[in-house]
Amino acid sequence: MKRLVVGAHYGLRDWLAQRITAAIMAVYTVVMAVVLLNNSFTYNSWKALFAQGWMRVATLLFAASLAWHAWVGVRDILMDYIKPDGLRLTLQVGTLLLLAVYVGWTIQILWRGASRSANSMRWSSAPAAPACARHWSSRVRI
Amino acid sequence: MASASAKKIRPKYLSLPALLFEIRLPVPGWVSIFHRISGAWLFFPFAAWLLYLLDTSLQSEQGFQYVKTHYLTLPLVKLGMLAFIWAYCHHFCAGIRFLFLDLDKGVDLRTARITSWIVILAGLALTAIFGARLW
Repeated sequence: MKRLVVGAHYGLRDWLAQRITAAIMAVYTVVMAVVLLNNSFTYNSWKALFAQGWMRVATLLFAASLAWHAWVGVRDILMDYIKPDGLRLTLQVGTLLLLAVYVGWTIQILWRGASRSANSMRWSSAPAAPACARHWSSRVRI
Repeated sequence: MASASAKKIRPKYLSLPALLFEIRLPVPGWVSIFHRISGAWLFFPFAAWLLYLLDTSLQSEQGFQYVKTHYLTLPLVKLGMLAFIWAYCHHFCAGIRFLFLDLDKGVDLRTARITSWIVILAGLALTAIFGARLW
């Protein structure tokens, strides 16, 4: 006899997702720690770091992983400590909204200058392009 | 009657004074609760704070200089940064320990206590290393 005894059966999936996203973020963290310890922290070096394609994609992957990871974690905390159903639901919705804002904000930060960089790469270096974009495009062209 | 007496208020000992003065957590317990506390902090406010810093520092040269030469030199901001660095490092180290526990590695009491101490000390040591770069 097959019986479903308890729950909505998202437990294992969420548990696994939290661990996989943790591993992704751990790798990004180690790479980032090495990169940051070797960065000179000038505006140009800082901007150039986040102008690289792999860095943008890796950072977005990190943000997406964080959102999923934090959703499972914060939901567990809320389920443990917030007993009134209405309040807990409100806080859970608030958590989801905040995480969505984080991801959206990350995309906005990372790709804000992307169209300009891409233009300067295509049209060689226009004088108006920021120094880092010129630097980047010159490196890519060589 | 028996069922009525079984419905006493539970849990019995989780009052605030009991939490603070009576219940003594073993070291792995501290690692666990700090993992939870640091995780909550990282979700809010630290993630929002870091995005603000990333946003400002990448927006313009002035924004970058403001963050580097003014904002991050304020004592309260430095203290907050230190708290962030500790939360991140502890959460990172404790998380890796939990991944090993999930694989049934290091679950006996002796090893679990040793790795708990390693996690706590490594979190503090990493905080010192990255915090030192802030000053």
